[in-house]
Amino acid sequence: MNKLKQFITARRVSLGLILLLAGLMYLSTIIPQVIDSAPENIEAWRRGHSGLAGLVDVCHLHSIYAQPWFAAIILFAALALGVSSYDQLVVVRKKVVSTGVASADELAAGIPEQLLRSVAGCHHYRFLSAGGDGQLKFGRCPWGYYGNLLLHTGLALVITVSLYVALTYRQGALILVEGEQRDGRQPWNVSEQGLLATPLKLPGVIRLDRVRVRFDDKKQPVEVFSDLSIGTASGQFKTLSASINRIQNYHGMRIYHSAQYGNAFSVTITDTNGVVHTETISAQQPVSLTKAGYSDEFRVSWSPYLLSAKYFADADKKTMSSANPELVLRLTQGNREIARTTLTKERPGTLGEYRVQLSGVARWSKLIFVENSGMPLVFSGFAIIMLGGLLQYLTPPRELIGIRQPDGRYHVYWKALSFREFFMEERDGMTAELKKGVA
Amino acid sequence: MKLSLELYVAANWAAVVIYILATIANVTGVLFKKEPWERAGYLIAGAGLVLHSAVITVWWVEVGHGPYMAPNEVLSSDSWMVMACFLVFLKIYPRIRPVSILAFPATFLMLGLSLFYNPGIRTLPATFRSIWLVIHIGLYKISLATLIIAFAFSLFYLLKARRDSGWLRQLPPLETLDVYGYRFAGFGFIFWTIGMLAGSIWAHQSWGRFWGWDPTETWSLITCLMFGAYLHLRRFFRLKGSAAAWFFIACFIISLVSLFGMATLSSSIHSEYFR
Repeated sequence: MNKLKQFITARRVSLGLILLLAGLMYLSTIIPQVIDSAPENIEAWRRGHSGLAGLVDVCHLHSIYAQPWFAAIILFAALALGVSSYDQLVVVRKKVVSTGVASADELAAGIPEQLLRSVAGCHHYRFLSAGGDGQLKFGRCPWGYYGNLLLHTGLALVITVSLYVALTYRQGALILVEGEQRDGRQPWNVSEQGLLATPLKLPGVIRLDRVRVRFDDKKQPVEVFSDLSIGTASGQFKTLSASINRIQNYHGMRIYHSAQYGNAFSVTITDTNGVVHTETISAQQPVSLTKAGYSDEFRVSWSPYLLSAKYFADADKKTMSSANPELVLRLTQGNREIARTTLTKERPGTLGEYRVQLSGVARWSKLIFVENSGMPLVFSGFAIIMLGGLLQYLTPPRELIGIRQPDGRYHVYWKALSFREFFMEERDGMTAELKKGVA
Repeated sequence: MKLSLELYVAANWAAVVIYILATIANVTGVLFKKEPWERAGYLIAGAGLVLHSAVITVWWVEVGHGPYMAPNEVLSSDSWMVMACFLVFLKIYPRIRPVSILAFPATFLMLGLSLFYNPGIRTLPATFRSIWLVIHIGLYKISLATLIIAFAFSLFYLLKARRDSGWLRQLPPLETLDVYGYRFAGFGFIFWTIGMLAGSIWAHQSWGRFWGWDPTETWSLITCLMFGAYLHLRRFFRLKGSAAAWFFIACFIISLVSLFGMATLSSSIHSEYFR
């Protein structure tokens, strides 16, 4: 057991773990990851690195962070940090009371106790302990002893709980247009969950009643509210308003308003045979009157080309909350534009061989529903890391130790537990005062 | 108070000129042991900082967001933070005086470079309106400033270890350079880490996830781990001297890649500010 503990807390193992994790993260930045790369980008990378593709597949390097072996490394790191934190606690408790002077500088000899106490007090050294044989220990910034301990404890806590959160979280996103309603039987627009979690389900019916955007005097969107009605088990509807950076809680889930919102345009398309098609195109809110908001490019059933759109908030370029936005539709094939037209409510257009008309405008927004537990512990870990780091590097402890001699006077020693060079003036000042006091 | 674009650019150039004058005076004072020149350098730098602060504040009010939404604003505030941190740390640790040889030119070069970017007004997305974003960015800027100080000590160490003659004799002894480099690297590490955690809290508040493995986040964590390895090596493996200085310089380069390289090369929420 002791050997295992020694292995886990070995300095070389800790260093190896840090470098291994840094190396894996570096790999994730040069090998495209499923989590943040489009499938076509991954395919392109594989074609360009065909020699490596086999190795990448064997080790699952396209999704490093979702691998059980990565979780095992993280868990091992947390365990090492936890055990090392316990060891440090034992060391710190010894350090606080220790009057050892092995690596200390001798400041003066033959110092009376009263002078020692007075000089210590003048330099903000507080009395810490008295040894059985008359030794006295004073310390400045004694809380600095706990810096490393707290730093490592916080890291262990954050890593452990983050791993738990990553394995058990569930979330789903809904993209809703005003008036649209969803229930738990319908799929999310996007959803994901941890390895140990089942997919999240909506607890009832949810309807987006209205999206409200508040603009400042520079015509920039400042706040976005999505007013929701959520069906309860009793058949009643409860209303709540989701907003960016203001989290709503509902049935153990947290509802986030994403930064994706804007106008959803209903467009009717008439082809050369007179067949009418309807599309709803959601485009991102423009950031100003002169800049457009864009939609994704998507396939449609009535054309071999891809359709995309952009819009300006106001056809007259006067107000950001206009009821008359200007919509630009585009048909493309690869990088080539096949056709383009500009529409307003009053102005239909022609998109290649199609007649198009803007038949309605509503607002849309994307809402994210998250269910996880453990976040308060993660944030507590953050606080412990911050405290530990600040104590460790901003307040290194210093010790003033008096060793009583047979004549009742003291040999005085001083040491800084780290960054000794920074406190030479402090040490020299105390030395001068002690010697002056004796003289 | 209204600040036109022309006045904003002119005031920034004025700050650049003042910082250059401060550099000439201060570096002359430090290298040739002329105290009045050195003191004059600090005074001129202080005056430049006052003007620079005023420009940043008025622009902040004017555009409605802090100096973090465009390359121009980012570099300007970075240079402000380097000078401000240097002057504050100088009060606390007078032995960092020679760092001005590197910190002062870094300040005017960054501010000058910022003026080659279009200083237009950028809009602030609604998700960016969070106090955690300001804390997140502010801490990274403090971290960069302290890392530049640590970088100066590492560089001085390597130069002085090779040839201790000429102006290098004005620098503190090697042991002092080594320990100061170590401690400022520690400051940089801790501000970097806390900045990263503040970003994580902001992400949780805005998107419901506290970590997303986006390229800048990943590089930031790599940087944090590399500084962790550096501090670990120094504390437990007694790494010091030239080896420590070279290791730190490698970590410093990685930190620059995280702050500026990834913002330019990758596409994510973190690259918004460098477009």
